[in-house]
Amino acid sequence: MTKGRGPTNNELDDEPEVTMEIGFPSIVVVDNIPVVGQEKVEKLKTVLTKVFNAVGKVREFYLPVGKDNQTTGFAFVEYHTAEEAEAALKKLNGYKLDKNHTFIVNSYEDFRKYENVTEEYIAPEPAAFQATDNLRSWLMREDTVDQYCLRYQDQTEIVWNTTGDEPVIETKRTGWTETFAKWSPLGTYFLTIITSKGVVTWGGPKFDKIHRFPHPGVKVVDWSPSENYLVTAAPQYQEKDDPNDPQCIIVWNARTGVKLRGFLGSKDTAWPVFKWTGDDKYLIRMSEDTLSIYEAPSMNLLDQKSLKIPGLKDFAVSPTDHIISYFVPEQNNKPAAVVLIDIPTKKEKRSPKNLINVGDCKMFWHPQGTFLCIKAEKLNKSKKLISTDFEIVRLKEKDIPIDHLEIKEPLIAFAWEPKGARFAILSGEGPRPSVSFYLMEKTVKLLKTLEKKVANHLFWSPEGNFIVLAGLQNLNGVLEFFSVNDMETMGTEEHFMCTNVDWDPSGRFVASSVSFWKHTSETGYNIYSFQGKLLKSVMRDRFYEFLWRPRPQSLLPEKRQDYIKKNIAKFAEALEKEDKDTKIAERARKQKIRDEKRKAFEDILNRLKQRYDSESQERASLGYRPLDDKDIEIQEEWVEEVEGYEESPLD
Amino acid sequence: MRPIILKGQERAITDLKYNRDSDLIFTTSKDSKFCVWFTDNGERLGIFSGHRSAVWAVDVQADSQSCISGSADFAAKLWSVENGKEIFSFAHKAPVRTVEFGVGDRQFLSMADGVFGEAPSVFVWDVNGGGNRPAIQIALQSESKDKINFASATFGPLNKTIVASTEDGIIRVYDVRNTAAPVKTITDHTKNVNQVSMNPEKTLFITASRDATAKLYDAYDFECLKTYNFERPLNTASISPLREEVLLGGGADAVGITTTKAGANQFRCKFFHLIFEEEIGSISGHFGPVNILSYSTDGKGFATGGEDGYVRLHHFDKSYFNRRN
Repeated sequence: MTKGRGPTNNELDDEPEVTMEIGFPSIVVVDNIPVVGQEKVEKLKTVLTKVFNAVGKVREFYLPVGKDNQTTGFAFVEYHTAEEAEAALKKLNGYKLDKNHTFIVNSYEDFRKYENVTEEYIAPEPAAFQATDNLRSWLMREDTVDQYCLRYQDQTEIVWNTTGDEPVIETKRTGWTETFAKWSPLGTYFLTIITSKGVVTWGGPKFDKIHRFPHPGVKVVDWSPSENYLVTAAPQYQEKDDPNDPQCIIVWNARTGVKLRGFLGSKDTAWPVFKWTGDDKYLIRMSEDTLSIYEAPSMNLLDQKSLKIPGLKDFAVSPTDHIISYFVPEQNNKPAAVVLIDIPTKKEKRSPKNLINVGDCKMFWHPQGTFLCIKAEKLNKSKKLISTDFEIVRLKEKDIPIDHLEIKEPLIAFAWEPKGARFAILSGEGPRPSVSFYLMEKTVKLLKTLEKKVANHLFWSPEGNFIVLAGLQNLNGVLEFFSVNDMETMGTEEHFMCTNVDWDPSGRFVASSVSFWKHTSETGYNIYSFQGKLLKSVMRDRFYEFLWRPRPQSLLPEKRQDYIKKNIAKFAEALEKEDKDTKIAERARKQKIRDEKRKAFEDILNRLKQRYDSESQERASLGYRPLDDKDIEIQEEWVEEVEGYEESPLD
Repeated sequence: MRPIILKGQERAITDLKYNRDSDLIFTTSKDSKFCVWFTDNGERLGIFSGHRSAVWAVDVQADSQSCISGSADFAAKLWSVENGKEIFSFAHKAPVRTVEFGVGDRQFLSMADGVFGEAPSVFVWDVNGGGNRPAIQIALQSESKDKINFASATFGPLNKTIVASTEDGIIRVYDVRNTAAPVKTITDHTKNVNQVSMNPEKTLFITASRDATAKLYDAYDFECLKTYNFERPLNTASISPLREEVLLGGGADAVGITTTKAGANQFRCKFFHLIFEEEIGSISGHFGPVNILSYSTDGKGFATGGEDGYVRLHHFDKSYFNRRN
């Protein structure tokens, strides 16, 4: 039973509770004191006073003696300040005086509080039910149109990705967020940030405020994969923070808005600080030679201690299972290793060890957790690259086999195909690298290599099968839309100096954007179909971000999804008719608007013409002579044109 | 339609004007000599020499007998088109940036910068006989602390008004009989309105602004009727005398050139539908910003002049005239 701490975090602007000086906050009650007779009281008092002086100057020490002239077994210790009493609670509660006597220290205030508790149980009033709007309302549209967020200048817009020319804007707010905005991973919430105050989540059909998370100084935000938790960090506290109430990194319950725990930062804290398991059950953090695994929502360290891993360089978490992979580079003549462990048992699984002569390693988990690819750069004695090695761990197969692949060039980019068993790599030395596609069959099979591509990034569709090979920034924004099933290019486009490429969550559209953060002129965005057809092109001054709203997992069971895919022709027919009808209606509507516009303008032109005609006399008096037919001279010119040549021999 | 390229001006093109019959086109540049050409084949008719520095503007009378030019040498000069000789020089106290004949050609206006203590001004002169002093002087009264000059000026219908734009984007309409203060101030634009261009009847005018928009106004009541979004800073605009369209041209500032899209795409001129404000076509070809453009007076062609020193002369082909509006 220890004193609660601090004001609640429900309202940002509440004043902290004012504590008044009634009561006895500087007194503590100590239990489990040895029971001694009258003669030993003084000695006992001296010993105890010494112990209690360790946390602050004891003002008065009262050791009550019972009717039997023995000490009662408890004592009252009064300090000068409430802080000292609190310190005593913390430090001396559980203090072992000797084998038989462990102190229990409580605040005197608590005794009084609990004394006054009524005998009868009075159930607390339940808080009035606050209905929130349907947070998934955006998925309810008949035409299954997705949303995206645009941020430019000080504007934030949420727009529906409809096919018409006019953008359908759900909401547009000025100054909604300060530096950036973020969707939650399954699209339920929209998050805005104001560094001096904290972050706020919004949602529902009208983007009402859902929760506030006060964290002054916050600069970076991270969501847990299943949207249960939010991690906010204020880097200004990296070096100086309060260990009792850390302000650097805070983990929140994203659904209730409640603060769960603060963590200290350090000057080499990389972001994101925590990596999560896909179901939000564990969060893991790395520091020097240490891997710390915490359980959610308790935020307690698993097994109350961190894993000591000397030389730990990097770690990754499976997106779907409770498996961590970590990398320890070569040291002390021990070869480098990538180790896979299960949580919570911390037992090692089949791991690629003995990575000899290896430089840097990178771990690439497949989005469905099926495979882990470890890329290792093999170096020679003089630390130059000989080859790039891939160890591919097949996690879902019996005995977890590991495949080995080697290429002779440096790796530029690697990407697993989502929902598929393929991966693509960009490799090469010069400015025109090659793209290669591999399939994880019985072995790792090379499907095709395309040479001399203008690309530095790979973007798979979230549904697989299609990929965009992008040459961002200094490669001038070349975008190649490629079908991996047919191994052919569907279209090539160029979005000059584009800095970002993002697929929509359904895999139907690709948005490319030029962000002011990376390139200051010609900022804006383009939207293409997955085949590379340009659908929309918008330039906006100081354009910062284009963010598709993510979707949650489909609620359809896999069998049903497969059925739909197999019978797509049947479904397509009905949907196509729907599209056609919509188009016709849209065209009629547009035509009506145009006709109205035209009529209105023609009225204006007529009015102007009448006025002009009425002025003809006045105009003539100024010296104006209208253009007359007889002024025009028609000059006829004969032009010779050669029709052709014909050769005929001289007779 | 392939354009005829008029090469002959050494430096950037500053102004161009078709005559009323649309068979001649006058072009001026930062060179002190300016030219007149036949529009049907691009053959140069002649060169007017006499100015001592850049020629900023030109206009020609309805009967094509005389033309007027304005130059940085502080003079506006009247010339004979037939023989190229200078008829008269109207002295100013500052560089002359715009000249225009009024309806009837008995008067013309000139527009001068503010230098050496002179306020930026628009002057109205009598062509014959009033050579030493302008009939009217309108001095700019601006609240702005920076030195703002007029950017463009044109006569309103029946020469009763003068519409003048300034470098801060404000458009002021003055009544010529009472020039103390503007009768109307239009603040729709946020940046320099580089050109105010009337249609031949002077019933409508279009503004071209560095804020990347062009706006169409009623020339009598000054109501803003349409806005056209160009997405890049605009220098010049012209209303088609024949079809429901306008032509806009411009280009990014020199500062942004190297980090923006390379190639001739940058300096495209765009056609917009007059009523629906949509882009209906574009034409490229200039290697630098387009400074000035104009439809021919009969609407059967158009010309564009660029910072690159070229004037590109276009004649619309048959399909242009057969198109539905």
